[in-house]
Amino acid sequence: MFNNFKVLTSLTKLDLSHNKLSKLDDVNKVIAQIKSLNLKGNAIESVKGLEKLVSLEVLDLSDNQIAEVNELNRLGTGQA
Amino acid sequence: MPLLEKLDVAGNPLGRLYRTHVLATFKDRSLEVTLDGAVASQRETKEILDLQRTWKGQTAVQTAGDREGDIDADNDLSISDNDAVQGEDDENGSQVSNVTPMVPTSGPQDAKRVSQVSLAASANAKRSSQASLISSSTKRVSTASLEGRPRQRRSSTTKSLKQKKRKAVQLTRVVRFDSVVFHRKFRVPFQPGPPVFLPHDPTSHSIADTGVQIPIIDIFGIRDAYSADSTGTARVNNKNKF
Repeated sequence: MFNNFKVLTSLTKLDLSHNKLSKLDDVNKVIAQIKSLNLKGNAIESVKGLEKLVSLEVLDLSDNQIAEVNELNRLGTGQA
Repeated sequence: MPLLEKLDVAGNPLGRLYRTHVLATFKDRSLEVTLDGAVASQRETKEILDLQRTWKGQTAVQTAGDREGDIDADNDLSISDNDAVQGEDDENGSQVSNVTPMVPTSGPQDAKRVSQVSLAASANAKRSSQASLISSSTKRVSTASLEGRPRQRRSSTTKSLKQKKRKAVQLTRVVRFDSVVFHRKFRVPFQPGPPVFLPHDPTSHSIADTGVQIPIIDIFGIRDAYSADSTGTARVNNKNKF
């Protein structure tokens, strides 16, 4: 899915809320330059891949299915 | 995410205590990140700092444990917790206990060669610390156990008390030296009394008996807690660092 954003090289803000997304694998490969990402209201259980979005300043993961607090360690330390 | 400023995770099945845990993962930026629309409160800040200290300690002990395992595999000189407990039952009953020299002794003088630690008075006499030191260059490991409580109290040592002491030993302090790590488990009681001997002089950066000069890398910040006079007598300056 994220392959479609490859051409948007200047994209800095992306709203993907309420899209029933469950996986974020390889998200960093196509939108690495993103600064604001809204993933609210999806079905995300793991944030694996997000930790590589080093330019990200604003991230909305509310109303998802993240049950493990250790999963969110990736956002701060880059490790689960 | 070194630039992340705002993070929202509300509405996830994370339980109640996720805020401090998540914020703590941002290390020195923990107090800057806005989580669910709010930065860390004063109470959360304290919890975050405590949590980060715990993680740091766990990482350090784990690192030391890995090194210990490597060295033990080479030398088979591992030290059990019982060594430390047994050392407390020495005959003199003072705060000074037997210390095995770190290098082979060549005479009585070497056998007594230890550096001293003078402990300032402390209201919290129960607090103690252990230093875990491993010598990889000399291939020698020694044990010192320092106990500051009166002899009468030790005489009533029971199995449960030994178990408690074993737990205390798990709170191992590690003083690492560059390329040389001394693995020692000993206790430094915080109450006035005779000097307690250490196997090395931290300030002179030299290994006792060997004269090897090496810089100290202290992953717990214990280094600042030490000083030494011209005779190599090491003293504990700040008990709060233990």
